[in-house]
Amino acid sequence: MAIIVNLDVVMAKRKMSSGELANRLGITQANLSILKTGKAKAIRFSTLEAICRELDCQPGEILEYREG
Amino acid sequence: MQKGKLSILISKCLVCAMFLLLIWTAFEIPTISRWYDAVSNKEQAFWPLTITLYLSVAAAIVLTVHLFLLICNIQKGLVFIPQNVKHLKWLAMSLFLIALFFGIFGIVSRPFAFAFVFLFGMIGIVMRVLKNVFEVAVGLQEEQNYTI
Repeated sequence: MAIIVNLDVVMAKRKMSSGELANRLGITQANLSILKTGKAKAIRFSTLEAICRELDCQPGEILEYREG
Repeated sequence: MQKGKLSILISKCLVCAMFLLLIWTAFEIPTISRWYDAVSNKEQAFWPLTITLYLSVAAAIVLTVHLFLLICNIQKGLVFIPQNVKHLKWLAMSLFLIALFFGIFGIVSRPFAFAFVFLFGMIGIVMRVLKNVFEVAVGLQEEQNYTI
């Protein structure tokens, strides 16, 4: 997929673990893993909003478009 | 929800009953063929009818097995999965085979058998279309599962 999810980069910068973030977002660790590993097919705006709120970042820091 | 569970249970029971009926029919096929020959005013059709019925019952048994497996998956909440698409494919193929066997019987011996060709062929086509619908649904389900 051309959209890369840089969630683990931002998580590392904020020093937040997967378990803690999943808890705060109200999703399972399995779903968070799907997001982190690029297997997700779509992300809800509500989830994106929650991620940006919890990690204090912008959507552009999480999502990257890479051609090819 | 209870109504849904009861409905699936009834379907399972009906499929099991059909399976047992088919097994019984397999043993009674020679009797059925002899009876048909006795009541029919036309030429003997014992062997063509017996072979047709044996082949059809075999295909019908395969059909009931796949139908049972399909219902079991649905009971577990696994509806739009690739396995169920395979089961529906087998259902359609079994029905087409039965239509083919009766078609051959119709050509060889009794033209009235073509009525069964249309009947089983039509139901087979319906199953095939249902399989196509399930295939699309599997894709939609996957997209739903991977939407976070």
